[in-house]
Amino acid sequence: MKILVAEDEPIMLKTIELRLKKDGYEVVAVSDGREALKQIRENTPDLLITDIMMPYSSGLELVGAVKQELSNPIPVIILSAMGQEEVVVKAFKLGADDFLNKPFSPNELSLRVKRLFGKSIS
Amino acid sequence: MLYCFYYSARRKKFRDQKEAIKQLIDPYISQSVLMSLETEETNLRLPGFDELQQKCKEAYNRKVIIDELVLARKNLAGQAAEIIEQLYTSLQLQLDSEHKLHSYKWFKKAKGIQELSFMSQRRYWKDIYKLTNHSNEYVRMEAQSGIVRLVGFIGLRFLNSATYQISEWQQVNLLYLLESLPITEFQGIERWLHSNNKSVVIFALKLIASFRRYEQHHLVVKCLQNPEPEIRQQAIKTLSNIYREDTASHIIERYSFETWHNQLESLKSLGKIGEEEIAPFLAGVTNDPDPQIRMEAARALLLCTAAGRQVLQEKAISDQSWNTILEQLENEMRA
Repeated sequence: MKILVAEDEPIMLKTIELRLKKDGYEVVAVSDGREALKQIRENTPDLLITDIMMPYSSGLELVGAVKQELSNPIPVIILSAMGQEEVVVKAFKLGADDFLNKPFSPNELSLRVKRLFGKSIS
Repeated sequence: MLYCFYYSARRKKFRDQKEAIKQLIDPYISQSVLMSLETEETNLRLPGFDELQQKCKEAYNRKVIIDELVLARKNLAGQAAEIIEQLYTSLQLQLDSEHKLHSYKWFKKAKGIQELSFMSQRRYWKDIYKLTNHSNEYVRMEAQSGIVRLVGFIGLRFLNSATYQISEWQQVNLLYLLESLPITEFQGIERWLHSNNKSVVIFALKLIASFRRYEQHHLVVKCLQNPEPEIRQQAIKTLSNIYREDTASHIIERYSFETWHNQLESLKSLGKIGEEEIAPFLAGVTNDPDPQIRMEAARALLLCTAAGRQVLQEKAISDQSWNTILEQLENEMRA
């Protein structure tokens, strides 16, 4: 399973990458929206985990691209400090599958990924 | 010319130094977090710790490391957050933050508060608490948020003695912060509702609304008679969050004494909480000379009464414009 992680904070990007690699996933880590879009179009992952506020394209724009451009849309988890009701609602309306508020626990993220892939959580 | 050269060389030196330190600390943080999650051990010393300690002998390096740790701490929760805090204290970085806290420069003070509170350094709570009514707005705001971050709801005690106005922005920050904390019983609302500081009263009303303090309903109703229109407006909004059977009648009773803004707010609240028996009142308000008031009354009528639509259709017989209003409101509700 390949996961694309888009996050502009290097420490967070590295932490998420290491955590998901530990679970056995192949992880592609990018630090801006433009690179994420390129990856989605050229090398479609099985799951996208994205921050909202990023250079070039926001995470919400990525959700829109994933859900509208791909013939077989992949699941998306939004990871953001912008946990206000209207942002969360907008993300889900665009088609996000899950929303995790920052600060977050890497273990919780790992469980949510497992759940999205239909794996049993134990 | 010489100064420009010196200045740009100096800037480059710091930039390179910062990059070098980040190359060291960022992977160390990520590795520590990961290791702690595997071993459930928060007091970890990975290879590289000694080098970090060595680097910490220089003040600028410590500054960069603190910034990176605070950034990571803002984003991480649970055990991962604990490991960051542990690393911060292992490197004795709280002493730097303490130094900033006692600085005479406001921006250093504010930064020190932020660092100590994000890193859960509870032993500094008294020092931070003293700054919650500081004359500098930024220091004050950081201290108020910091004390809540450190000790939770009990930190709201600063409201007892807050003499400066708490800005709307700061109120939003505090509410956002409180909503992320485990809810515990908190005392003081009654006192804050009687505060001489208008913003404290408004914030207390917002707390009642956010944390659904139904038992304070009678106190909020009293605020409907407060001489300050902003306080009355917040009371009207709050009542729509903690309403009971008699809430609508309290709002209606005060309606005719209210300002234009508060009348609009009353109609919005009634639209949320009202039931059939307020239909005659709302129908009466649809005859108000002010178009915005008429519109809001019609909206409330449609929202909370089954007969609302019929009332508006009857009005449309004598005044065609009501047909357009009705159509617009129904579209709004469908959206």
